[in-house]
Amino acid sequence: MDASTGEEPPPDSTDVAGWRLAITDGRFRRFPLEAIAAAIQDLRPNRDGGLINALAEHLSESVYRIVRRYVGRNHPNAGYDIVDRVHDQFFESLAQPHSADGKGIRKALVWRLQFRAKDAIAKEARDRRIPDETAVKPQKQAKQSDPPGDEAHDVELVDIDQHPDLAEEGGSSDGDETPSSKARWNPALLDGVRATDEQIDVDRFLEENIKDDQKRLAFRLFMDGLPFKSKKYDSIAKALGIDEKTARLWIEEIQKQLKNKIGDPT
Amino acid sequence: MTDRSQTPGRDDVLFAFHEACPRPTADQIIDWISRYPQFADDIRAHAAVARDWAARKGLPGEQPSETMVARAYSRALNALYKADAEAKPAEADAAQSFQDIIAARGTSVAALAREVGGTVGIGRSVLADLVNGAMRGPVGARFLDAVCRAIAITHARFYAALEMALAAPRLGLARADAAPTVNARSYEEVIRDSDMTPEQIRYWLGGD
Repeated sequence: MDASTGEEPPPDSTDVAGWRLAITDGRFRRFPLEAIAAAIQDLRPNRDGGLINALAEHLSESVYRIVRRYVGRNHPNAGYDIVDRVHDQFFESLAQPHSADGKGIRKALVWRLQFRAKDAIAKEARDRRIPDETAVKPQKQAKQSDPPGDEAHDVELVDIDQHPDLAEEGGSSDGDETPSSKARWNPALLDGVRATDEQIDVDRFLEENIKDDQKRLAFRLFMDGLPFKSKKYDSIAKALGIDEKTARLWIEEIQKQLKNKIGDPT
Repeated sequence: MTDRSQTPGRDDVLFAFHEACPRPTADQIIDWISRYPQFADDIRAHAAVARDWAARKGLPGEQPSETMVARAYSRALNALYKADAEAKPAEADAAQSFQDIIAARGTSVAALAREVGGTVGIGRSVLADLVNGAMRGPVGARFLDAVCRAIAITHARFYAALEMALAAPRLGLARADAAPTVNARSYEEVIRDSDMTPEQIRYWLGGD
């Protein structure tokens, strides 16, 4: 028993008898997943099939459930392709104890899993991304009023008047607007949003309706209060490696969709 | 002598970013991109996922069905089995037919179809055509991955088995007036002509 945590430490990863006993009395389910993974790696050369299978079953289920929690249904096949891929990749790494992942999962298994899930989602997003027409077709419209965003998470709408951006609506695009610069944009477009109670689930809206991960990120940064472009400060354009016009068009596009979803009470 | 010129690889950088920035701000994104411009696109893509996760934090996560969990366990064992098999080069190098591989795994075409199909589902006839040498390559990426995962083989071994199947197709019943033949069709033809639903067909042909 570990005196500091009150938890029983797992057997050594090479202790066949210890693991066999832990499986018989079911204690192995309480051990850290890192210890289970290490035992599978180190006991495999002994080829105790029953023992390995019991540990692998527990680890497989735990890994699958963890990954499933991180992958939304807004992916092909409700995200199961990604979950399967990450789960299977995990076991391939487990079977290669000398690989970076094979070593890493003995130390910080959940971190590794999260990382691989993130990488798989990012890869899928990149694969499905299509060239954005708005980015290559400049629209004159971009000079009109820019509605702002609202707050993510539990959706506290940002006060549009306080958004640092859009100060150059008058035409100046020298990119020097600062977070404290005066906002001269017309907030009318989002009046409906504001009026509808501040409990709109913008995050759910983004996840369900905005397929492009970079547009979602742009909108979240916009909700953080970031300007489209700035020479002195961080900006959406700089963070995303896009030009100011594209950043504006993306935000406007999302705002319009958001408004359509919510309806226009006027 | 120590090599001081070692630069961190993609995974090292992205893993460090993952650990350091669970909810990346613009400042952090810009900072990491300026340090590792060669991974700029990856950093932005990871940042987007991290922000999606941060926004979803606290919400109940999706729970997989018991069937999916059981299938995952089956594939986990396959991965361990495959690693063991690959540790024995002579064994691994020998080309095997799909029938041999399926028999060695103690499964069947019907069970394989359930495994490969997952939640989407796939017609058993598609797997039968593959195994019987009635499907020409190349096959769709999703199908290839799903089959390789289900029977724990590499893509190279899949295509070696496919070649064997095409070279020695399993024939149906002979007609009275002609020798039996197998007209292998392309993957796309097999999928399109199957009795699967339009959604399933679209999925296996690569659309969402």
